Amino acid sequence: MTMQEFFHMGGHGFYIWTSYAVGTVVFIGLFLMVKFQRDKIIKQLRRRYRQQKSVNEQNSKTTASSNKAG
Amino acid sequence: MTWQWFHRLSSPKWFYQISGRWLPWIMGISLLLFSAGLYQGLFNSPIDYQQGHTVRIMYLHVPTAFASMMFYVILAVAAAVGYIWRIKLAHMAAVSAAPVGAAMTFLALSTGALWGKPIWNTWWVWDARLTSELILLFLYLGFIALHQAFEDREVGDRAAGVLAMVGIVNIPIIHFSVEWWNTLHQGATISKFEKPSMDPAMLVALLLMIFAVLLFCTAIMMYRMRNEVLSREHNKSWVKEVVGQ
Amino acid sequence: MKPLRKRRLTFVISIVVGLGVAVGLTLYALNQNVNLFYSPLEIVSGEAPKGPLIRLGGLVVTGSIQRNPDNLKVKFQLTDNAENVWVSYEGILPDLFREGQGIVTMGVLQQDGTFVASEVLAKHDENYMSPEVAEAIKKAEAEAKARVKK
Repeated sequence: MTMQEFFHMGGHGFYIWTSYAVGTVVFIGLFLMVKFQRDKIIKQLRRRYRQQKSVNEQNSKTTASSNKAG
Repeated sequence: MTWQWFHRLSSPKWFYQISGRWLPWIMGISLLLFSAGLYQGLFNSPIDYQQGHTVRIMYLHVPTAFASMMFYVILAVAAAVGYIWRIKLAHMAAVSAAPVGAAMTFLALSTGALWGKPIWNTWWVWDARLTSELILLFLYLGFIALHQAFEDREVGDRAAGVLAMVGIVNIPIIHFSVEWWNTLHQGATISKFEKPSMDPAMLVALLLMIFAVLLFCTAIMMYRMRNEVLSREHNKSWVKEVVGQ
Repeated sequence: MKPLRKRRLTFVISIVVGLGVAVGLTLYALNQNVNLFYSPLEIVSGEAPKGPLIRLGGLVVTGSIQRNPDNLKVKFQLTDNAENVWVSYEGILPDLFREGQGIVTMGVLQQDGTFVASEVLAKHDENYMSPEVAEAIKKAEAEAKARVKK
């Protein structure tokens, strides 16, 4: 079987190769979407945790100063 | 009690840890099966006596169609378990199965159209099999849309879950449509209890591709579930440790 | 099981069973409309309407294909092994069109019981084999037939 015959697929190459191309795009797409989703969630959570941390630090500072004052 | 395993199994933390260990293997085996299946299907299997080379579309069409139905069953069962026992992980599984199933349904429909044009002489026909598979796509999309429509994620879980459970009646209709009614779509080859009427080399390609697709879809669903776990359990200290600062 | 869970379980089961029954009955009632095509038996027994666009499906009868050498007009018989119906068609036939092949045609049933098709679709079966194997089976069948005749 030559390369040309392989891609020609007895005249039905268009249908076969389009099928497999669509399949490849969907499978790779599924994988990439999951990866992007994970990156996004981790980024969001890190920002949230940083905010919580700074709020907590401020709270403890104010309680500490108010304790001193009291 | 014997329910202990059930609770352990339904613990998001346990799932996150065990899936992290399994996923590289599942993904690796799936890729191996894909390369073997593609080689067998595109190079190493004979043409069909009637369809010629177009039979090679089957190695993509049948696995995706099978996965589209299997993942709907997973979605509906997970939604029911989550609904009845209020298990968070079950709802996460349902939400994660939906996009995978929708993608497989889309692939089954599009490869079917690309197969139908040269063989049947038409891209699409409103027969019972094709129409019920199209309804399956709408059920998946309806589940995803309904879930996103709710501000409160847990209310969305339950509302979309009921839709998923209702839609399960479509699965036997898809499967038996080719037996109950006149359709342009041919009957099943493998699910018959007899020996499949297929060339052994074709059968090998088909089985390799079926397992490759199912494993890949399972892996994607598990990756999605891990994302759901992180996002929903973000207040737990172990998640903070995993995500880091 | 706790009463609350039992109630939810009952709810889920009743929804699925109830809807299943409803859909089942509807599909049973619509049975004829869900069918993609009429069979030759239904055409001959008068179940199919004459006039509107309908679909007819069956196997191409061996030896019945009459091609017009001047144009693309073709006549053939379709069978469901019970009755035969004559179909006339003008146009390009699908690659799979051949004697014994299952096909679905769309067209109009005439008053005289013949069918004028405007579209011909090929139906293929669930058997997949290589041309060599198909050839071998054909040969074996022919030999078996010859032996029976003797």
